[in-house]
Amino acid sequence: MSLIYLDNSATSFPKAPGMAEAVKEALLTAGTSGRASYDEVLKGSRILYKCRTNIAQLLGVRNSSQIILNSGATESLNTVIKGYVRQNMRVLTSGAEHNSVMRVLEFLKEDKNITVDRFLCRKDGMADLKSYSDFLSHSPDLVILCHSSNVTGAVYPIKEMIKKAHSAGSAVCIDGAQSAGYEEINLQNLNPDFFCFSGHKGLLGPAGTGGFYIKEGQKLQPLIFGGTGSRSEEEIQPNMLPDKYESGTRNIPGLAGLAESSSYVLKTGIHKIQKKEQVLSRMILENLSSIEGITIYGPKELENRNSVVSFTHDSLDISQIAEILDNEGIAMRMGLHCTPSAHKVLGTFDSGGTIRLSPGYFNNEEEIMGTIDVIRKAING
Amino acid sequence: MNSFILTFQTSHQALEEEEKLQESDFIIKMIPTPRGISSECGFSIRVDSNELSITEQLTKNDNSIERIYLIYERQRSKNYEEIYRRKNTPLPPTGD
Repeated sequence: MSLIYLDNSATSFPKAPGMAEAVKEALLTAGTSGRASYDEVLKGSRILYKCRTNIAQLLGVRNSSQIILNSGATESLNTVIKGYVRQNMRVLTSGAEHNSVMRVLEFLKEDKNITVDRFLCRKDGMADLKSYSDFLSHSPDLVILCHSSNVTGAVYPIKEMIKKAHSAGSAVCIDGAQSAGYEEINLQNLNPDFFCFSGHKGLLGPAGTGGFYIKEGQKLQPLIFGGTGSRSEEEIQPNMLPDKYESGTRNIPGLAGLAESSSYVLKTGIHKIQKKEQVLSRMILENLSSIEGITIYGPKELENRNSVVSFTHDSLDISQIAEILDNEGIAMRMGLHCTPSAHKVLGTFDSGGTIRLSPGYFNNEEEIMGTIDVIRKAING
Repeated sequence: MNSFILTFQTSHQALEEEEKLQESDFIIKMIPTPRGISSECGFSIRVDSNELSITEQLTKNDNSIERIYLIYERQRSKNYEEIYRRKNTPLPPTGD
């Protein structure tokens, strides 16, 4: 049996057509970027330029220098949170946040004596907007929101939530690791202060790529200081974007891959990608719900969900189901998915989490039905 | 034929301008920023044109050009005369 890959929330597979070739081409022909003007350096610089302008287009950002390229969503969240938060500040986030946010905040609680409030989430993983508003009344300095959950599949109403946070005088950082490339995003319209994204998930690029958007006028202390190829006469960090947050040589081969894959996503169209993933996700939801003993987590309303489907079984341990899926060549993820608090919300923390199926654009209906058959046989014997 | 040099704050801005100029009639080339010119970015754009002044054409729309210099030769050495400066932008020291 050939591999059925349903772990696209962890990383997309396969990658965009032409992506691997673009990485190889960059390794063979491109130099560094921005530090000189010989052909190889210009090629490296143009790779970054193409990548940045593609991402800006995908995220609805007019000025592409506000897109910072780095190793991914985790580095971006670290840069934004550590760069924004000062001594004794107050931060508000959800009760179901990923460790890429929570571990930074736990560190800052000790290091900078910050207060971290967490608004409640409903049993289906959606934000409890009443609790959110209540905590906003404490006027947090920074609000961090997960756009789209890697566990419950819940998609937060971030436009409304960003607006409320701004009314309370708070800056807003969106964790878009699971949403960039999966759904239409227009940051001019949504108006967050920061938006962090991953390159290797919905954007179909290589691991070790991604970045963040910073709103015009917003300022962060850089996470990393160093050479940028600009203002080299001075030993202080330049203030211009994107250089301020891009010290050190970029991962040019990786970003060449992201430039190529984001071109593919642009050419294909987010709407088409999202629609296909929704069809596959709906097929999983409908068929799993007909199997006795299975509990599916996350919002009931399809418009509030991404393509992630998490489930458990009443009597069969998730590790038993996962072992059968592994043996049948079905790639999925079992456990807590680096988001323990989301499992506390769902009530699945003590039993070790859930099984997560996350279809992607390159899956087909036959693969989904094949997976459902394996799960049905695993449970019914 | 006159030659001009456009300078920028970042390489991203230089490439953005290059993309726009590729659609124009100007002959352009990316070059290392000459040492006598004050620039924040390691490379600049040289523009060759028959026209005496290109400033208005290049700066009338949205752009991120920091400086425009006219290149001329005197006593067998290249000289750069600043003919345009973006408002409110302090310069770093020159490379000299």
